[in-house]
Amino acid sequence: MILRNLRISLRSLKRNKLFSAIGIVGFASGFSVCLIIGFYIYNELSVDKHLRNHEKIYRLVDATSNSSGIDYRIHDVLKEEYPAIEKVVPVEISPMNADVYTDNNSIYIKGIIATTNEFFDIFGVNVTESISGQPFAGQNSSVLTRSAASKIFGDSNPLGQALKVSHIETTVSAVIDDFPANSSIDGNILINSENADNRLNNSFANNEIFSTTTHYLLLRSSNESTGLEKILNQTLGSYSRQVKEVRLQQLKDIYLNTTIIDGNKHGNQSLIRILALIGIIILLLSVVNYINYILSLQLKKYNEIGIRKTNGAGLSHLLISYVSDVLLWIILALIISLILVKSTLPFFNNLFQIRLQFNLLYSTPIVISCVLILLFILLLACIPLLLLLSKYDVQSLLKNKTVSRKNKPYISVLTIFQLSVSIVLIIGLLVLQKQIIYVKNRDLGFADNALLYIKIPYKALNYESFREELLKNPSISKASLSTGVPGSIWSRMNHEDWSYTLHFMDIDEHFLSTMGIELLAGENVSSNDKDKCLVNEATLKALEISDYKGNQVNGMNIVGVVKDFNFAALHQSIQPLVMKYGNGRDLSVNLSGADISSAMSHIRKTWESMTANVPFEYYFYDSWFDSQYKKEEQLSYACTIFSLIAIIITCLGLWGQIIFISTSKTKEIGIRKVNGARVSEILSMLNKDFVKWVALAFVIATPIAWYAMNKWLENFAFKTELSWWIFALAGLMALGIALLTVSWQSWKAATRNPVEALRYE
Amino acid sequence: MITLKGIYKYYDSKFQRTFVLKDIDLEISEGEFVTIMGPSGAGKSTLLNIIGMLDEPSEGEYHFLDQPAHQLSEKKKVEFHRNFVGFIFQAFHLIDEMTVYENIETPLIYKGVKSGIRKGMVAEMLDRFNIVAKKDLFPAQLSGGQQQLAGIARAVVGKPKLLLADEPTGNLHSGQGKQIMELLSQLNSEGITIIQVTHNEEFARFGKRIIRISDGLVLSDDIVSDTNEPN
Ligand SMILES: Nc1ncnc2c1ncn2[C@@H]1O[C@H](COP(=O)(O)OP(=O)(O)OP(=O)(O)O)[C@@H](O)[C@H]1O
Ligand SMILES: [Mg+2]
Repeated sequence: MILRNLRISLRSLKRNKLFSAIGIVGFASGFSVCLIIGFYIYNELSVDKHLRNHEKIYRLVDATSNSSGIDYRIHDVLKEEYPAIEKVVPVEISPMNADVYTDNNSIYIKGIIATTNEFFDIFGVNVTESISGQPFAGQNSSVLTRSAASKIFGDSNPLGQALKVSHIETTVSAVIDDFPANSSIDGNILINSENADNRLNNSFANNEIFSTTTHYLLLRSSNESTGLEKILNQTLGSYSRQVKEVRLQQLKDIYLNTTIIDGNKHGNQSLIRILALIGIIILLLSVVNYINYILSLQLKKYNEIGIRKTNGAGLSHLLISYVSDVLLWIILALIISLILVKSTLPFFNNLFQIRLQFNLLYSTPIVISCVLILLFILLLACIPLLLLLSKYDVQSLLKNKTVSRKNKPYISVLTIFQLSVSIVLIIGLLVLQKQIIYVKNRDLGFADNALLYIKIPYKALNYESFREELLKNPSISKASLSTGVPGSIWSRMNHEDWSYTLHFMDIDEHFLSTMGIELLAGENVSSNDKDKCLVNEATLKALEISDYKGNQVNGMNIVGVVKDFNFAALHQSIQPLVMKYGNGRDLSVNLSGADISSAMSHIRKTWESMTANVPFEYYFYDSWFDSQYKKEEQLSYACTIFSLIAIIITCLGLWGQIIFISTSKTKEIGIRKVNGARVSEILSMLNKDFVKWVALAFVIATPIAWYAMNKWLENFAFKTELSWWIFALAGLMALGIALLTVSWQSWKAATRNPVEALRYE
Repeated sequence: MITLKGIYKYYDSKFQRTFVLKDIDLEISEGEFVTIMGPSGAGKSTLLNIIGMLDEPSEGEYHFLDQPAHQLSEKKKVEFHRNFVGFIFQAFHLIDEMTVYENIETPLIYKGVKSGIRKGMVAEMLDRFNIVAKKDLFPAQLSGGQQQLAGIARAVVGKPKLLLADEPTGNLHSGQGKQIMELLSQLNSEGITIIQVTHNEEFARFGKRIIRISDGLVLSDDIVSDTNEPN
């Protein structure tokens, strides 16, 4: 019985080959995109959840500074005084490149972790080789990941070898597996933080310098976290005056929380949200295609149901035959989706720089949501049938024409919905592009063109003599040493009473001229007055002073004001910046007017002659700043691809509509043509609905898009305008795409020989 | 077998009530072959649909085999369609996606006949109506007359007591029509009660009783005399 029904369903699919193919492919492509987005989101949400103990692992977060760096010295207290804590481990991650040296080699390695032997146990790290029973054999031991070991030592055995990490001398005592992609703790070299010199991070507060680290706690049970948090806040203060208020953050919450300052790997929560939204929209669009397809097919179904009823079919028979139609459709769509997912996964992996695996398909949440979605659309398909049976008697079903008209308003509404979504997406894409172009071309306030930044490791050479050596080349006229450069200023100060954050730089007297920053008033800093400083315009505004003269900031006299320049990405408005004289090792070199490649080779040669094998690393400011928009570019990439898919799905829907309309009007077209109608009249008869729909959709989409885009642009301190032409262009594009999609089919219908058309019925 | 008492059928529109059938009283016993005639719009199809329980009377009583059909539940009506009645339509109403064989088989499936027995019954019908060669063709591949043969085969394969035919020859030329009518007479002689609607005087006379209605009223109800029977 089921088999028989499926066979008959297959025939009806074959009969409407093009129409069915459009319906199935339209749904399948949307469903595959949803699956891939589902994979991505599931993957992002499962970070750190692979650990057996992940529910019980927490870390301490300083609630006042919103940072995970807390006084190292409470480590022993945590370990001994609180019974709820089973184990505790300090983990300080420096995600930057570090310069590492062996006896005969030097390279940059990304990600240094300062921790203790507890780490490997709590985080389930697999130690593949080690010298002694513990990964860290001693205080000066280091542990390498497998890939770092082969990068540094090649094929030779790393165990027991000397390795200098920046200025820290270590001996490799173990090799571990690389951290898995879904771990928020990532690094390549681990050093032992029991050695106080290895703690990577220092803080200065209340007149003392002390090490900070992130304290990870393994609790005996996750139920105890709230109680523990309370007790910690009551008692920790008595052990360290540097700890005011702490919070416990569960391991699995770390990855997607970017508000806390730490060295962990983080995901992009807004990307997840936007993708989830796009996924839902695409699913809706393809479900709409599916419903339109089902509704269109009803015309034939009415008659058939009538016949079946006169032959004695009961409700169950009707349902089975109907469901088998839909089921076959869904199964085919599912198969096509899986093929599409499998074949396009590498492309999306490339797009997002991730490694999604096809076998994510078998993870429980994905399977459950797939089954739910498919069940939902199966039920959705049965609703029209049930309504039909309750509303109409057999007699009117057999006279089907009157009934089928009633589906037209539904189809119109659904199509208008699809078109509105498409127009919103087109507007979104145009605004996104416009904003990216805008921020990339914006004047940063300093001469970022041909401006070079050279990273100098600690004590790699004599900074000042290197600078002077470079200036000996006639094509290099300006160079400056500073601590912190635009794009990377880490020294900040907050205060409870301040509504702003102060940023600090140490600069030399060449900084302003090298960077092309304008001095608006006052004088430059010089080595003579170290308690004097320059501020930017934003500082004056923040301090609410109109004239710098006689004013102080953070205990330093202000001697001059510079024009605001961007030292962070354009998400932020320009913040208060204080620059004082100091010796730094961030070297900026202005190469404007020089032959860049010969200047570069001079710099490299000088570097090699002055350093002992230290790797040479540099950036050009312009491309470096552009790379800060990587997130936006990734977003724009993803949005472009997915919006195009959404638009294609809508087009498939429109194509299905025009096929349906032109076949159901075959007879009418024939009669009109016999009576002398011109092709253009037939075309306008067939296409006018679509034009009307696009117009309506445009009216609906414009305010939504305007609102959404305004909201998105609020993320940027410097934003492009929402010009009217974007909306107009989007409307025209939608109209163009819609007409292009339907015209071929309507042209075919309109130019068909009328005799053939009339015989068709 | 069929008793109609005071049957009314009307449609209410905004301003008025249109009567399609007015106070119809009718008695049809088992084995009869009744022809219903009348001008277009007289209410013939409506009457046939009420008898076939595809439509409900607005007022009146309808008894089928002594059961009050006007009170039957939806479930009972399905039983009725399955076991007692077969329909033949002017537009044939075969299902496009099914072969001739499958079309004929359909009512048996709904009746729950076992597949082995089903095969025999369908084969018998194909044989009887001379369409064995066409059994794997689809309706679109058949002539009108062949489609109607398949339609009749489907209507009678379940051995109904009552056969309702609404202008079964309306879409056929007279040669084919005649063939169909002869078939109906033969089925009637085997005991099936038949009620047909036709506009064709010659085909009307295949029936043994002609009821003429006009404007929803029964005008005449005559037994066809043997002498007038065409040959
Ligand atoms: N749903 C309806 N609403 C209003 N009037 C209806 C409806 N269905 C049928 N009628 C009317 O009922 C009358 C009888 O229709 P019916 O189909 O029974 O006629 P008929 O005798 O079979 O005619 P024909 O010989 O043309 O088939 C017609 O006047 C028709 O307009
Ligand atoms: Mg009629």
